[in-house]
Amino acid sequence: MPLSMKLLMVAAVPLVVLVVFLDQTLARMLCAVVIVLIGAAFVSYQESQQQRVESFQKELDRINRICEELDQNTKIIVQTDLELTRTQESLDKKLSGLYVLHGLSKKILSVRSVAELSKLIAEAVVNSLGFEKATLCLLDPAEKSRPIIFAQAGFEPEESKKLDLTQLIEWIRAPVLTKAEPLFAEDVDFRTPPAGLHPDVSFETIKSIRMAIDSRSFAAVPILIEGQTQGFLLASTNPPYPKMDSGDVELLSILASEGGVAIENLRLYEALKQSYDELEERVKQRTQELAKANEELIRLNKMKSDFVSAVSHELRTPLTSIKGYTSLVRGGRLGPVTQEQSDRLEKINRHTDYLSNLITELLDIARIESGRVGMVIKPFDLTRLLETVADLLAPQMKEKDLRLEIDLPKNLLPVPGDENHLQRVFVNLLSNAIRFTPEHGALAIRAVSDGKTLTLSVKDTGIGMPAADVQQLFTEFFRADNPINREKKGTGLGLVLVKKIVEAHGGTIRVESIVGKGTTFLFTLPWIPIDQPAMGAV
Amino acid sequence: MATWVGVGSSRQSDSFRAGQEAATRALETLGQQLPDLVLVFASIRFDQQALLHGVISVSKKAAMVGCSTAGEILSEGPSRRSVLVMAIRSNTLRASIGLGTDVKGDPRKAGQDAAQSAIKARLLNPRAFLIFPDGLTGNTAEIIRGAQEMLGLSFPIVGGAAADDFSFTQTFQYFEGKLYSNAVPGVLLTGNIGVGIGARHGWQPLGRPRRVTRAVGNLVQELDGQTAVNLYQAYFGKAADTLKSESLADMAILYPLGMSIPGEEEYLLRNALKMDATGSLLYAGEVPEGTEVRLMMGSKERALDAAQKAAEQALASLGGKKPSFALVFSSCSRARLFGQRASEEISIIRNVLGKDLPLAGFYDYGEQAPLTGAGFRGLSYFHNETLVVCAIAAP
Repeated sequence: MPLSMKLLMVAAVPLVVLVVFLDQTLARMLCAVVIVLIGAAFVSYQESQQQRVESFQKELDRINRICEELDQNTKIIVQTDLELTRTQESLDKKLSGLYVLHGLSKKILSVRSVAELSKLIAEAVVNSLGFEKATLCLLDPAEKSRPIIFAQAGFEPEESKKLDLTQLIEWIRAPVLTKAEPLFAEDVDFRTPPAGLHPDVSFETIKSIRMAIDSRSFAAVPILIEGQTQGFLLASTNPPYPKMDSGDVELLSILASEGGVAIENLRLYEALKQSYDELEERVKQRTQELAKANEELIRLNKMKSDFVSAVSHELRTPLTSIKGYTSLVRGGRLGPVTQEQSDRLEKINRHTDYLSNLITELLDIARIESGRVGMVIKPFDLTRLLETVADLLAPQMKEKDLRLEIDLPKNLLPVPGDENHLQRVFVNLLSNAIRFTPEHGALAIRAVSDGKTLTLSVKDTGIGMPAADVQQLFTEFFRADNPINREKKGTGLGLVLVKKIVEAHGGTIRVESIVGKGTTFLFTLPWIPIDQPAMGAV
Repeated sequence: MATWVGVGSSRQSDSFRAGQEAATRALETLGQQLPDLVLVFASIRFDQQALLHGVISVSKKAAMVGCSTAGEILSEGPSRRSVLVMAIRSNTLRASIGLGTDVKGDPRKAGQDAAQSAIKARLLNPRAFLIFPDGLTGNTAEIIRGAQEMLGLSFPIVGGAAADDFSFTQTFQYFEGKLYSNAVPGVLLTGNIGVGIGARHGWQPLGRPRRVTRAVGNLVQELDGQTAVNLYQAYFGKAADTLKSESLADMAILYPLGMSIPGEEEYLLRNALKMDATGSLLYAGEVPEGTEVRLMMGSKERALDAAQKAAEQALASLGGKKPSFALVFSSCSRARLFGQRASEEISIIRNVLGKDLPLAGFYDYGEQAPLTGAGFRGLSYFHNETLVVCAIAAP
């Protein structure tokens, strides 16, 4: 309640009292005063109400203004959001394109043929990039209108069959194949040429392509291989799907260039693979040829051995007769023999012996080579064997005053081997040593074992030989040219036989020689486990 | 007692073979048995009839319903340009299907017909009615009302409106291997089963409230006495000039109108689908004259948060029962909003419901789901921009 009203009421009570108790004139005057006061109070109340309404209105206007301002802010928010959304959508589109490319490049790694790769790319255009149809065509690099690879996706089988590829290539030729530039038609409606059409392409051509692939919106991009346009990738869509835009063309171009690189790599790979295969085939062929030649050689060698052993055998019998009859004649049983005749007969006898020796050694070599005579591997006492050999050759050594040293490891286990054959090895090597060592020389036989093999050596202080002779030492009928050999005839088969025997034991033989100092023959014998004796020629 | 659910999809280019392949994959889980019910959701890129022939060449006489989509939803994430088949065989869950036609002419009758033909089977314990109406031709809210007249006001009606990959031209409905448009196929789920439904969007109101001053059904002609499209032009500012009229509606899908509902936490949303020559806007759902509406804006974080809540709500309303499979109906505008992150929405749902739960769904042009706020008693409404999660426990 306004203050004036309160004052009025406070004033009214004494006034009423006064009216009741005072005379009429005074009362009337007082009434008039009261009425005037009431009127004034009413007027002032009205005025204050008016002020309140006005302030409310102001407040309301202010709120409305704020509201309007906020709504303006909202517009800014919406516009920003809209901008963000559009950016996001175009980014998303690019991103999903990149995802597809990424996924595809991983898949490409496992593809091994250009045809398979082309199919993969065409399918990715439809299944992953979301276009309706895709055609990938690779042309013969020499003959630019002949398609060599052709892949499609999104086409119904009959539709695909109906498509005239040669015609399509001609339509797409400019500018895709001629200038390596994309051909893009955003929307073909038969009435007006689509906006932004490449100047090299006629509206008629565009309409023809639209009919051929039954798509309103399409783009063809070149596929470059080795910097040369060798094909194209054509993608298309139809309503209700969105028309293709420049971003799509860009994406297709990236895909096509990546595809081009992959195709190039694949072709290189295919070429490499082909030459590798060819090489492999040739190696295989050569190996076969060699194996065949080897077989032939083995067969020939065996034939040779067989022949030698047969001939030797046939020669031995008449030789025995010759030797028999010679000694018969020389013994004088068939009549007196003069000294001259006896001398000649002695020569016949000696040559017969030589021949017989030669035949025996040839026969042995042939037998070992053909495997007809195997090594009988049994553990034997090497010390005893060497003593026997030394005893056998003692006269010759004594004659030239040669010392022989035999050095074997202590507690040497029985050696696995063919005792008889190995005896021949030592006799041969030691006789040689004796022969080529001047008087008062020294000879040595040594054995060293490393647990796996036993290495035996026969050393002399003889005349030695040049390296050229060492190389040929084990060749049949080779005889080093030196005064000793010129004086004394040998068969030239002794060392060959030695080598064959050592090899039949699974060992190797080599020679160290210094001219004027001496020669050492070294050969190895493997420690064959005794419970598993190696039989035959190893 | 058991329920077998298999989900299969295909991206084959050949329509018949795609249908065949998706159905074959879906049936793999069922062993030698044929399904009782198949749900088919497919992209419009397929020759629809050939696609359905492909599916029924495998599913044989099983009841079939489905529709075309704006993207398919699989456990692995969202899929485009594919076909999805969910095959169900159960001795607890019984399904009867129904169809209503001429949505454009009389949507309410179409809703009634769909429900009526599904009820005819007289199955015990009806639990929920799944529908996949044509969202372009008629007033879907009326379809729901029609179905409610047959099933009871608080009977849960769930589903998504058929879509056509954002071209807003023609959608298709599948029923018994036949192709329909302008129709509403439905399937009544009955038996001793639990149905848990959650619906959320996460969109926020923005700016000054406006009043719908002229509207007929789904078509809003005037807002605050001005041509409806002015609202968007005002808000989009300069961007609106650069956008062509058709893409204006295309962008407007991200900014729906919101109608406040008393007692509900979230606004009921309405998607702008198309703009006509006079500047009127066609919404995916009715916007009654006189309603106060707000412009709504979505954000990825809030929309993902809504997905979490919708899934939790669906699971909670199962009351402790273990879900056997789930259906997801998500608005096509959500797919647009999320972009590359659309798969997050699905993984959030799977995290709540169980990673191995068979899941199928699609991006749609509108959703049906009950409102749970006080005073609604589970009355089903037509939503937009919303995620509906329907978890079904069929032991």
